Amino acid sequence: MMRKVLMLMLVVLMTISVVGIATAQTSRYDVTQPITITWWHAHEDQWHEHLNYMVEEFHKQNPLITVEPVYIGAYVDINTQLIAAIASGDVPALCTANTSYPPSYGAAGICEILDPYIKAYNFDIKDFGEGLIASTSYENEQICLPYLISTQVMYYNQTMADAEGIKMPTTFDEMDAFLKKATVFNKDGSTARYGTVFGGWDYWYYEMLYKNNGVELVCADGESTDVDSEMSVYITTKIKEWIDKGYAYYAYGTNASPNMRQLFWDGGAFSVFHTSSLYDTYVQQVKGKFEVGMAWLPGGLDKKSFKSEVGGAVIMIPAVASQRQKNAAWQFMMFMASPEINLYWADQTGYFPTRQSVMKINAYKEYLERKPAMKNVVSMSGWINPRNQHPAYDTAATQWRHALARIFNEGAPVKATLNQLADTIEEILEDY
Amino acid sequence: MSIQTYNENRNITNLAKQASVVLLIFGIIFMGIGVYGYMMSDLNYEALQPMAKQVYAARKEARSFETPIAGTIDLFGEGQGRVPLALVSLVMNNAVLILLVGLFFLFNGIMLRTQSWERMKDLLTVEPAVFFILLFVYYPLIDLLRISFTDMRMLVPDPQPFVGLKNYEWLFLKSGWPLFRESLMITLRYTFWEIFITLFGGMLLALLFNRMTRSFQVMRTIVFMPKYIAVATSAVVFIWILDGNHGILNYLLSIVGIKGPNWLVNASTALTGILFLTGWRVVGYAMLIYLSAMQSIPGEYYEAAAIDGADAVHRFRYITIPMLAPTTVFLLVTTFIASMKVFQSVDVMTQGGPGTATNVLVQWIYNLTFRDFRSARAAAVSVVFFVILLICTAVTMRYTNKSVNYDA
Repeated sequence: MMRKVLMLMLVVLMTISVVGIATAQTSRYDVTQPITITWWHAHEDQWHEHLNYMVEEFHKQNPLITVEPVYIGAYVDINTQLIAAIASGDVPALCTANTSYPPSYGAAGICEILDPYIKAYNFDIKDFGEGLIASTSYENEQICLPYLISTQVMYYNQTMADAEGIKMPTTFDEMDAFLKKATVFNKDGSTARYGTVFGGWDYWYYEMLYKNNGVELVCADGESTDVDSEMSVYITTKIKEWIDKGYAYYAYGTNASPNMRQLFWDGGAFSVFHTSSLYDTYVQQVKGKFEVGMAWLPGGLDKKSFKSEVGGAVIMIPAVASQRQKNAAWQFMMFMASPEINLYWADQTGYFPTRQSVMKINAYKEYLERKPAMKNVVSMSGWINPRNQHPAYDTAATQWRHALARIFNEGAPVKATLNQLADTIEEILEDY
Repeated sequence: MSIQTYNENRNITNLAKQASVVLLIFGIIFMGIGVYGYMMSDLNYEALQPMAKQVYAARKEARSFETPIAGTIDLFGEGQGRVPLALVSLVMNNAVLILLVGLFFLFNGIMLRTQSWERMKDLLTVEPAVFFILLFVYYPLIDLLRISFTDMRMLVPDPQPFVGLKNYEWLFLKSGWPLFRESLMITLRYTFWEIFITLFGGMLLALLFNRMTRSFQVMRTIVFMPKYIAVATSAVVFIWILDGNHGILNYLLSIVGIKGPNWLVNASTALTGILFLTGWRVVGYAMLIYLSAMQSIPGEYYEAAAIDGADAVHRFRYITIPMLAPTTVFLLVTTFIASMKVFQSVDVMTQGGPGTATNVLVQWIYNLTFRDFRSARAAAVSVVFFVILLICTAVTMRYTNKSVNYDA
């Protein structure tokens, strides 16, 4: 009897130990004491209501953690302040960043590597899909979580399209016919309604027109560029031709984005190149004057390439934060990336749901029914790719943006300007 | 002197001597630690490189998995003098502070030995202020110079190698030169126009408002008011005033049949657009300075000139302008320095664009640091910019000091 009791006790002890060890492994990342963490984000006023709702929901589920969201400004402002904060050592526990930043952040080692947290909580990272995982990783280590994801699209006036029989271009070679049909001229020859507006204040809005035709700003070798290639010259010449003829408008410089939107809302443009995340804003601002359509960007001349790039925001934990902050931040990250919240955000903002499991939720079907324009984009989402991971990409793209503005707005010669640009970019790449 | 006072003084002197010894010892120790830490963290000396690498690797590990920086480090090789890694890391992080504290101890130790207690009391009174000036003004300046000789990049936390004059070579002999030359020319063009608006506009308004009636006082206040408004706030307002499609300026121009340009989007008009804001802000301040100078010119001069038959133009040419010369020099120098450093209005209104049309020097330095993350290059440009400013200011001061009659 005694022997049986001893055996039983031994088994109980071993079980407790195993459970204990397992629990201890997890508890390394657990939050055990009340803590307040700061979250730097770039969500403007119109989203604060939804943002506050989510934070309150999180507080209900996690009474030990208080999240204080702080609006910092645009992504570029967050980047500036985050760098300064890292230098001073006083960092937020969580930070939103544009999808273009993970490569340079990863190279610099300023993000907390999330793999141990993912493992400790058995977090289903694969649910994000390969493209999004690649977009938020650096050298196969997860450094951020996909959070609000968007891609490049063309918004168009669905009501006008239906009335005038205008078909959105699916490939680059269809642009000529599309622009001729969608543009309206005044009697004096000036443009009354632009066929389209290219978002020229950020390279992200036009780069797929080049990429889908094989033009890479930074080639795979990381040392050369295609911006002076024949295809690049051809595409640039075509865009310039459309702008010069009054078919298209190149939105560039101060106030470019609000001016472009206003032009579209006022009926001065049939379509615009913009981000899918602003779908709700477009629909609200049109105020029922017409129906807003959303189309995938025109694909390549080969009619085989319809790539787009991931946009929006990722969420990361600065590596220099304290472990207590990191643990609390991770809890909030998991909450933000949960399927329900993911869909809530997508529904309220116009961003995409980032988790594949969301598509199995009934609410997702209702969401698509309420936002039929989203279907066009969601059906093509397999084409969404990570952004180029070269740390100098942004710097090179800024030069590209300046060069195109000189060509489109100031009449600089196409070939010579692109040749000069290629030299500059190759020098930048050589430097890194 | 009473015996009691003599004894007190002797006690203080003895105490000071003992204290000075302690301070000297601590000073030498702290300075030694500070210099060592500084060398390890930044100068990348070959002999210290392996140790620095070890510390940085441990830090990186700690950052990722919250492993406390533990273990020891072999300070002098061959197993001798092992010290905790965390301590070495602490020293590397705070080397400059430790160095300054060491300097403070050393300096006070020497002064205690060589100066009287009365003079020491004076010294101790000003030391806190001197310490902060050293820490927040001179240290950043010297560190800027140091950074310009490294390959520091904003996002790379590891120690940056010393690269000698490579950044200056880039700036003067390689791809940096056309950018620098362009940026400097834009800055000088902006500066010229800001000085012109300040001096000419300020003097014109001062002449207009140089009367003490009630309505003129109100008008003066209105003209001066923009100076109180934050640059960023007024810049946002001006963005909309100057907007090509919806701006009020182009609307007003269209009423008189002129088609206004898209001020901030066209490369040829963007700088003019920024100068509109500048003029609006600075002219009131210049007016006020000129006004107070004008009102201090004795009325007898004008009366005597009028009796001699001088008309208003002659009185202005031969009395007002010479008497205002010191004020003009003051405005010239202060406006020159301020306008060369213009940043906020440019950053808010154009971010240096379109293209590089308004890429003034400070904006370029900012972009190099925060967009391209090339801190060392930005530091090199800053150092050159500082030298240019210093030379220009010195030349201006020297020239104007010779030509301005302060007794006029």
